[in-house]
Amino acid sequence: MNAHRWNAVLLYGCVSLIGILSLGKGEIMFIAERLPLKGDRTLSDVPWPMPEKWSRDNDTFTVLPSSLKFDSNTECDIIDDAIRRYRDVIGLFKHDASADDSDITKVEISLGKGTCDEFPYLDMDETYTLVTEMDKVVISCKTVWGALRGLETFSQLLFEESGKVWMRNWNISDKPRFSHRGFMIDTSRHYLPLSIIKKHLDAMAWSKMNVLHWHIVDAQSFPFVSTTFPELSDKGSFTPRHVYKPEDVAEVIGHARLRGIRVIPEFDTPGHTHSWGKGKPELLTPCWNDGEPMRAKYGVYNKAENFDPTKETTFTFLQQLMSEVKDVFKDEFIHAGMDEAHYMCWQSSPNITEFMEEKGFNGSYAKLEEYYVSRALDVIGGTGKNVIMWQDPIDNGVTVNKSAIVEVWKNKRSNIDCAQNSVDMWQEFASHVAKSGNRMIISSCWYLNYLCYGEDWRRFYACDPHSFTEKQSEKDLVVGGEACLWGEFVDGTNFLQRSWPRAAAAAERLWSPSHVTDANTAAFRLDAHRCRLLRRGVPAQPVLPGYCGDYDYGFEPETPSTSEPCGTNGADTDSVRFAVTTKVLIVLLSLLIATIP
Amino acid sequence: MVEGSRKMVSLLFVLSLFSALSDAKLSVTPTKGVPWPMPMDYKTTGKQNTVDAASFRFTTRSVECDILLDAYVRYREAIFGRNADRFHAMRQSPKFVQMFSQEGDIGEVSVDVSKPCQGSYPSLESDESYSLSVANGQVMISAQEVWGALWGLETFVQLVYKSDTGEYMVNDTIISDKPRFAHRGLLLDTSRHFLSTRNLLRNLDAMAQNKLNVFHWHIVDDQSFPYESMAFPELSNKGSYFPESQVYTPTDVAEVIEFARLRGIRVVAEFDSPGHTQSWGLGQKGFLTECYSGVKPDGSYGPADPTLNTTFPFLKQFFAEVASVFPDQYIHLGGDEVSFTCWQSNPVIKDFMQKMSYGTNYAKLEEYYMQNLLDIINSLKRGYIIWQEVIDNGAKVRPDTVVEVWKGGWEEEMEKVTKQGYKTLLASCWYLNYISYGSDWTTYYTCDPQKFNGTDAQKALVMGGELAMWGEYVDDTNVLSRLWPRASAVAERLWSPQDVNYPLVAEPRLIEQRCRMIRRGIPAEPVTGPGTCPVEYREP
Repeated sequence: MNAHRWNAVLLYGCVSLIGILSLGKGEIMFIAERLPLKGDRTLSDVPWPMPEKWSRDNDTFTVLPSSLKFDSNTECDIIDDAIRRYRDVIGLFKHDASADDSDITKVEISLGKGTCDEFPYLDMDETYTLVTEMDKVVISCKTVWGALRGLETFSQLLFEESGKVWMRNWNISDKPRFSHRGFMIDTSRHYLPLSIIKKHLDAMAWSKMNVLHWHIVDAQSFPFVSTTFPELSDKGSFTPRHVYKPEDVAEVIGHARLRGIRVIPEFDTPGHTHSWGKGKPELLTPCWNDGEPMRAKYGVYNKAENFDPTKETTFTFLQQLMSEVKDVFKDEFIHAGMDEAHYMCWQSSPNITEFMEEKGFNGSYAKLEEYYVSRALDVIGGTGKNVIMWQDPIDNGVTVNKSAIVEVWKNKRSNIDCAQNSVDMWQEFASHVAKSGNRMIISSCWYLNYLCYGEDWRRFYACDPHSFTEKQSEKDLVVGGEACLWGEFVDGTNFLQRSWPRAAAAAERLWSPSHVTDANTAAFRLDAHRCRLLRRGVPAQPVLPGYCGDYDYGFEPETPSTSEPCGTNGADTDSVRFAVTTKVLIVLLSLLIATIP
Repeated sequence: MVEGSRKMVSLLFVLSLFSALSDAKLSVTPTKGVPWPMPMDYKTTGKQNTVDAASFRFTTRSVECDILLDAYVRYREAIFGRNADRFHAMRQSPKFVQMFSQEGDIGEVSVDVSKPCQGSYPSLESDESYSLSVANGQVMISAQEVWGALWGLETFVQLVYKSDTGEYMVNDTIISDKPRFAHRGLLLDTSRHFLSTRNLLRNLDAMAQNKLNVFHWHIVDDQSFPYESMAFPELSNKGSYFPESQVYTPTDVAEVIEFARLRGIRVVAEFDSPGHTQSWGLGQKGFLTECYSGVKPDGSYGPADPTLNTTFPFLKQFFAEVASVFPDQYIHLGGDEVSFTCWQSNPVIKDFMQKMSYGTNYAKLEEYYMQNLLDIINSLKRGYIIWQEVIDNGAKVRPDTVVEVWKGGWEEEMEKVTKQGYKTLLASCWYLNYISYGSDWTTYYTCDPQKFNGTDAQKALVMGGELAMWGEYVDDTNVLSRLWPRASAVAERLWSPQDVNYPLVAEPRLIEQRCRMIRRGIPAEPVTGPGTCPVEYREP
């Protein structure tokens, strides 16, 4: 037994006290005194999401963040960057940096294969173990992705108390329950600034989510800048400032990769494509009303809607765009959308009718949709990528290639039903997809845009993606799930607040074993996690009354300059500056001219 | 040139809206330079004037005061951005003015206030009316009191918009305006979660941008006691979440009050009792009722204990401090949701009930408590606002008491309260903490506080209303984005004429208001569906 260990033993007497005090750092409280919180508060120091297997005892060790060494047996930029990040993260703990003794002096990262994968992928191995040894913490894993998850867990095990940073004696063996743990963002209904997307990726990594499903364009705007078809965003974005340029997209992908997060773009067709039509009008089907083309029918269809499947040029265009997209985005999957291809506009068009007769579709618009879907999937397949799509084609009886992953999004429960006893009703959809034998992603129960007053995270927490079946073979089709935050009512002002920590409920469901379901006990851990997110710079909203110790969002930096209440925007300032500079120049010029004899 | 009254403008909105709708409602075109809340009388024409950024200044025609001078600095910044100040020095040079003022049509806004205003503090009786004219290259704001002038300045700033080429523009406009209700409040709860002083100030800015004029500061409650009392420092030392950082020091409170005053906003502090007082008990031993389980105290506490001889002397001293700290003529005394269970369990209270011949009617005991408290406030020469329960339970209150109605069935309650001759405020419709999916602002917008059965005299007793953002699920991370612009809907209801009440007509203007607020530093969230603002929100 070495000196450090003695230290720990000598401290043992006050260990339980330390435990309790540290838990007081993030403190949720009752709504009303007659409703005290249920659940086990002592588990709030267990990481979020809860590891598959873990144990801890009451031994505590000191850790000195500033002098802690990280050792890895593998050269890899992903590991190097992670070490740099986690050094910053644990540096946030308040501690006396000049203290010279520390029980734990090293974090050892031991990669089994010693490989450094280029990009994260479906079914990557995220397994790791973490043990506290005499003077070090050892994280063992097979891949860099496991190392990232292990480092995150390590960062969550530390706590501050009496000017020092501590950790208990842990033994963790962990792996995710599902491989695909996604979050869908929608940058068409409102634009999301890059800084917000990057902060969001950070929060995802801190909650062990690993897929950013980027619903990048939709009917309302087309912010993706295509180098092949620049007119799409030139005409289709809200303004020239509301775009994602190639370097922006690369920045998102790079930021995500370093955190073990895949970026899957969604280019939703044939419906939801109004904004595409601004740059490329020929893509859309002209809708007919009163015997005339390009006539809207209010509440039914617009002037032009849905890609026009009768034109070969539609598929040529898609082929060209997808061959750009396949290079821009590194993941093996492209999300092809395919949801809500409403038939009404197609039905109004004599051209479509004629085409369907030619093809022998016999008046079946599902056949027309199937024709579009199969051609579009062939186009994407031709680029070497695999496809994810929404469930709609399956619902409509379209035969879909077995290699496609189907995302189940519908829910028969009303979106605004906030009654506590109301239950999710998506299982029959999943069951239907299972019959087709396609792998699937469940998102029906995690539509974060539909909000309810109070602790609505409990609904997200209660949803189990396997609950649609008893058959193991059908359960095996579920690769995971996604939290979706559609953008109708969110933008930079409220996106992060509305996402976190509500999405963390889905994150735990998708990572932790299926038996981790006690929401009353999870509430304390979720609060601790939210306070952690706050401390790391994400404005996660509260889960119940209370506070986060001596830190709350916006407390730092407390400099006089930030206390100015009214912000202004760069454009305004710039234009004033420009106007004045111009005027000064004119004055100088006229003075100059006046002096010329 | 098209000249239109407010109604004609509304009609134009509807028409433009329908043209947008025929485009499958992908977007609604926002207005440009139309104020929120809608003025009482608003005539505008298509005649555009440019505003000259370089020479622009506000001038006082008659009465000058601290409030105006502060407003000029703020509003110059609100129009031109923060750098506007840098040119102030340059502007001092007459040569500069001469050289540049020709560039824009409008370089001056002159403000005419009749009554002296140095150091004034707003009240329920403030005259907030003003008139504003933009005509012949002249801008003129006139008001009886400075409070009206402030709103006139706010309106002027909202009339200014940017042309496609980036110039500041304002159309010829004639406005005669005054609020429909005198009390237009917003409640923040700093007990369930602490809100930083900085965010309270930002919220006051947002309130001024919507002409709300009462900050109802529900400062303490069961969960925490962040108000730092000079007489009883233990209250926040023990009762706040975190005494080092989660308290409002006397300096913080003074800063909030002064910041509000300069914006024409009253700060009404609420110290809720006898219920909702758990956090008081931590720093003031013997204030709360000990709850009993059988014959023994069970360690838990209930409402304030009205039977102890220390209770009212404590309250007297405490509220004397409150009255000296908060200059407003009203103090909010709470009085809501008193649970009788603990009182019922306590043998001393039972004895007291017998002695007072209350039988088992604990509402009587509550009335006894409130009556004593009201007498204390009376002696401090302050009026009070109370939640409706106090009246429901039959306490006798001063005739100038303002009763705040917050429960469901508010129409009957308002009828009842006004029948008894009390002034009243409506809050029931505007609990903004209860969130739901989508454009819920329309329900706030369409709730009219005078829509209950009663005589004209009864309706005249409606002083206005308050929106509430209770703090259970709200803190610094989301309070501003959750409030705004949903609270703007309430602000217009309380300011504008009763017939300005069609959400579809208001929507294009609300979008402009949200984007304007974003430009001025408030993270107002999207509430009308997909779209964008010319300038997106950035953390200051």
